[in-house]
Parts: sequence; C-alpha cells; structure tokens
Amino acid sequence: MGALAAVTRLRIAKLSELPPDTNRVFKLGGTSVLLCRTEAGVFAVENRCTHQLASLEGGRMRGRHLFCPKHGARFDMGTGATAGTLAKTPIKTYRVHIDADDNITIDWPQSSSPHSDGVTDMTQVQTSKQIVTRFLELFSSGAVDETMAMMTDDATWWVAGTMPISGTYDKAAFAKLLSGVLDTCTGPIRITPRTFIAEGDRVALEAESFTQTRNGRNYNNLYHFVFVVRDGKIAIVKEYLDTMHANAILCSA
Amino acid sequence: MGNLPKAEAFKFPLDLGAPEGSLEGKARPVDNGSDVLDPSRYYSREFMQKEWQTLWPRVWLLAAVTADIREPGDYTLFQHGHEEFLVVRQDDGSIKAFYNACPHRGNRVCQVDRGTADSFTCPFHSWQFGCDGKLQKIVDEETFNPKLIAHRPGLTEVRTDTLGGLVFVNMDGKAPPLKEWMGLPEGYIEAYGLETMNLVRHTRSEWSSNWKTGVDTFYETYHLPHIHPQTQGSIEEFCQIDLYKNGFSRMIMWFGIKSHRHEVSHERDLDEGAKIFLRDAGIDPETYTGTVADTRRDIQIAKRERAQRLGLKEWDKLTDGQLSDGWITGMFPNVQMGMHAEGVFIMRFVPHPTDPEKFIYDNVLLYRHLEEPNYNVPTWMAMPKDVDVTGATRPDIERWPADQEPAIGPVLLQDFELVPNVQRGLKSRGFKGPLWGEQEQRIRHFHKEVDRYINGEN
Ligand code: FES
Ligand code: FES
Ligand SMILES: [Fe+2]
Repeated sequence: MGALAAVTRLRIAKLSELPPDTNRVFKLGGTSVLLCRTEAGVFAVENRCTHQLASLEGGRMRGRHLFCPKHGARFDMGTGATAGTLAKTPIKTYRVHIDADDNITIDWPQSSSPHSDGVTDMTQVQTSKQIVTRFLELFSSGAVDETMAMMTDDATWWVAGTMPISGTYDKAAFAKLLSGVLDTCTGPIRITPRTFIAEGDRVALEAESFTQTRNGRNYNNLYHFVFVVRDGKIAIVKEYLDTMHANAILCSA
Repeated sequence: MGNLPKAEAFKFPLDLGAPEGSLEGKARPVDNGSDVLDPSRYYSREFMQKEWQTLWPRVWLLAAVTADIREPGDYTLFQHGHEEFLVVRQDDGSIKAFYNACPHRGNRVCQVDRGTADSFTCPFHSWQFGCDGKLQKIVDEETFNPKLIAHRPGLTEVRTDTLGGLVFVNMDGKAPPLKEWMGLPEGYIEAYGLETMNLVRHTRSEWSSNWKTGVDTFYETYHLPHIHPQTQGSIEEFCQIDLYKNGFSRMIMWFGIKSHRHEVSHERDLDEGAKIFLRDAGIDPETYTGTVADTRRDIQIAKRERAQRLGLKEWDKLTDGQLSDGWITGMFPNVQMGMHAEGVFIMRFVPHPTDPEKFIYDNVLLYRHLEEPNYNVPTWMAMPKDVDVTGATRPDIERWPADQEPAIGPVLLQDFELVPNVQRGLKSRGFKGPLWGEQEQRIRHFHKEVDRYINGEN
C-alpha cells in the first residue's frame, strides 16, 4: 500500500438506484452524505444544513439547487454556495464521477476521518461495511450483472469444503456458477447479514440465506463471510457455510 | 410616414387617434380640479398612519408574478411596509397567501425570498405549517395548555386574486373583486401574456423619499428633457395620457423617435439612442434610409415582420403602437408597469416599514425568451451582461446598502438622485403644495384617489 492520497474514490451506488429528481442519504464514517440527482446532474453534499443543522434529505431540488426542507435555505449542489441570508456558510460538497457502467463514485477526503492518526480508520471501516451491505442487497435481488459489476475485475470467490462446487472462482467463473445455481431456484438467493466485524478494508460477517429450488425444497444456510474491499468494490470473498446442506439441496437439484 | 409635425405644431396633449374604447384609444377626460394639496402627506407620520388604517388594508396590492410560483409548493415573499406575506402555489394549482407571522410568538416563519417546499417550519421553536397554512406540528405539544392551542393555530390567510400573470393580496378582505376594482380597460394586462414571460431581473433599493414622491416622479414625462437629457434623441416626452377609474392611469410614450423639441441639423442625423432602438428591431442604422421622423413607424414594420417570421403569436394581439411604444401603466396605488411587446417592467413603490421619508423601490423585469439568435433583450432595458434570460435560473434579488448607489442603470439613477432633493423641498416652510400641470395630470388623479381612501369615501 502506498502513501495515503488526499482523497479516495468511494463507490456509493449505481445510477439506476438513484431515480431522477430524488436524493438519498449514505452514511460514510461519521458523515452523512446526500446523493442528489436532477436533470442538471448527480451531486453529493454533506447532509447537514449550515443554518440550523437540519438534515437536507427530501429537500426539493431545481437544477443545481437544493432547498433545505426545514427553512428553505438554498444551496448550489455543485459549489455548496448559499443564497440569501439565512445560511451563512456553504455546505460541503464532494466531487461525483459516473463511470461507463453507471457506477457513482465520489472523491472522499481521507483527512476527514476522525481517526486518521493511524489507529483505526473509522471512515474506511464504515465505508467497507456499507459497500458489503450494498453488495449483499444487490446479490439478494438476483441481478447477476449488477452484482458482478460491484466486484473488481480480478476478484476471487472461495467456497469452503469439498463439495463439487467448492473451490476458488475468478469473476467470470463465479458469474457462471451463480447463474447456474439461480437457474435451479424459483427466485433470488436472499442473504441477510446478521453481525459485522470490520477492520480497514476487511469485513467479516455472519449471515443467513433463503431461497426455494424448482423441485420444491428450501435452501436456508448459515454463513461466515470474509470480504476484502478495494476501490469501492468487492475484491475477495471467502464463504464458510454448512456444506452438507448446500450439497444436498443445490448440488442435487 | 415622414410627415411628423414640426416642433411648433406638435401639441400636447397627444391623441394617437385610435378608436374610442380600444386599448389604445384615448380615454375620456376626467376633471380632477386644480386644488393645491397640503404637502404634509409626503412626510407626516399622521398621514402615514392613516394610510395604514384606510388605504393599504383596503386596496389590492401587487404581491407576486405567477412566473415565480409555477409549481405546487413554490412560494415567494412579499413585503409591504412592516407587513410581509407568504404567497404559495397550492397542490390544486390555486394560490394562497398568508401573513408571514408565526401564530406562536410572531416570528417570521419564512425567511428566504423564494423557493419550493413541502411545508414551512418556523425557525424559532420549529412549529410546522403546511403549504395550505394549516398547523402540522407543535414541538412538545404536551407542554401546552390544550385550551391555548385547541384552535390548531395556523398561518393567517389573506385574500388573493390573480389577473394575467399578476398575483394580488387584499388585507381586509373587503375590496371588490380584483377584476372589478382594476381600473384598466378589460383585457389590457392580459394582452401582453405575462404568464409566458420569465422574471429575468429583480432589483430592490432604498430611496430617500416618501413612496408617493416616488410615484409622482415616474408618473410624468415632463421632467424627461431636464433630468434625463440623454433621452431627447430617442424618446418623445409628449405622450397620450389616459385617466381610468379607481386611480388607474396610463401614458403612451413613443420610443425610438426623437423628441419634438430635439433639434437636428439634418433630418438624417440619427441620435445614438435612436440607433439602438433601430438595431433592437433588427434594422441596421448604417444602411437605414429613413429620416428622424420615420424611425417609430419603421421600427413597427420591422418588428411586425420579424414577429411573423418567428411565429410570435403573442404579438398578433398587439397593435403597431404596442410594438414600438411604452404603455406606461399606473396601477393604483403604488405600482407602475412599463408594458412593451418584448417584456414588462414592473416598479413597486413600497412604503418603508417605519419612515415616511423613505421607500423601497422594487423593480422587476419580465421578458419573453425566444430561442432565436437575432432576438434579445432590448438594449434600453439595461440588462447587465451575462444574465441568464432563458428563464432557467430565476435571478436573486439584487440589493444595495442604503448609502450605496444601486446598479439600476443611468436613467433610473438620475431619478434616484433627484428624489431626495424633491423630498427635502416638500418639507420646507416655503413650499405651499405641488402645482401640477396637464402633463402631470396622472399625479393629481392618483392623489385624488388616495384622498378618497384617507377621507373614508372608499
Ligand atoms: S436548517 Fe436548513 S434552512 Fe434552517
Ligand atoms: S415563534 Fe414560531 S415556533 Fe415559536
Ligand atoms: Fe425619471
């Protein structure tokens, strides 16, 4: 790992998850960020009005402008500048990038971490957790393409045990495996995270899954996952599970 | 049309000869007598108080333009003296207005000039009100005696009405319906299609005189050759004056033609100002072959031709005169609107909250944008460069500290500098009251109507 850059790019969402003329809150570390979309573009601002510190969530928008839902102070979402005399200080803004795959990333100032003295980077921890949460949401929706888009190109996925499907997969191979398994099921495999432990770019969690196979059996497994996050995406997955149950339901379907 | 009368033949009052009863037609004369009014009306606190008792609450006040509140939840503030109103577009498309005073302890609920919202929250203790003014939330409601709040105190509503893109409020709620009260001929305002215009500039400056001194200044063209000598080559100060009912009035000013008293050595000597008007109409003054007497007519022809080419339907309703002339329209009591085919200048002479010798000059420019490279804001409207006139962004109100010259263009600045001098003389022991001539008959008409309110006749 090289020296810390002044900003790091965080992948927050897919453009499709932010309908036009809406805004949505993301928690990044101790900071609440409002991602906003209007016909003028996608903007990210700190979700705190500089007038009386209200949340800006749900504030109406016009072009580049966001109106605080509390007392109506108006902010330029690109520059943070205020209009009028109510709010005297600009709001914080973050640069937004949208890549060819419609991933929304923002420039996140590393120095804004509350623990940037090298003890624990809370910002990073919260962010990693959030990225994994988003990833599992996508996974649970059954949208294979979107799920894969949230993995790095060199991502690997390891499945514990000695089942026919155990072993290490690269991104393409895992996509195939996932599609194959989903074909035998009546709906997506919903994975519900239970507890998280996160440190830096690593996230460990317990989770539970549920789906039904086409031959009428319930698949309901318990897991321990380890995720490694990089550039707002999933780089490494290690999946520990009840292999006997998985083998019985998925590999005999 | 090179047969403009020579200076000696050019007589006041002007009559454009339009058919009686038409919008352009000369109104029947009104005899407002020739009394000399007591000038204390311009400075005394008693008179100011009377205005607050018997004038302001009873009239319709121009509060907003619909261009500012097009969508449900859009709102704008309107200040008038110490009063302030919150004007809000409702979900059903109607417009409501409220006193901007919190029923809890009076704080100004809304403190931004305009915006769009789902609800309004008072900054003091966060009581919350809907766009319909109804109370939505009292913070820690259980700590109030239920009797105190049993009536669910919301914002106090004030009567509103609209006409042709203008929104009015009436404080005491007893004024006749707006259309009836409006002294202008039927369809007069509507002809210009203000709803399809955007607000492209809004300035607000504090002037050092009574609000009526301000109205008086803008109600006549008699001062033009003296206070605004630079306009002599391009504006005729003799105008058609029309007095309407209920204190309303109008003067038709010829723009783009030299004043009858402005001397030129050669009849092809176009003034720089006249060239600007020609250019704005799409005529190149360098190749122009007309004389100083032809410019107004040629501007009309050029504008009509362009309107047809651009399919500008709104102009079909306007007479040739409306294409070239300014219909300077007085809306009783404190509004004057310069009506032009391209846009409308609205000036409000807003009384100061506490001082009878100050007023707020609120100036709004409405303009109809066309996606057409050769069509732009007329130069004489003095728009600063780089202002977005497409309507995409509604500019903020430009304000200036009281001791600073407002950036309102050279002509208005001349009036700004004039007004405190007039105000000073009005108060002198040596001044016995204004002696208004026929070119100033709109002023007398206006004051006569003010007096009807002050004397309780209206
Ligand atoms: S808290 Fe945002 S305007 Fe008051
Ligand atoms: S004054 Fe408005 S909530 Fe108290
Ligand atoms: Fe003037």
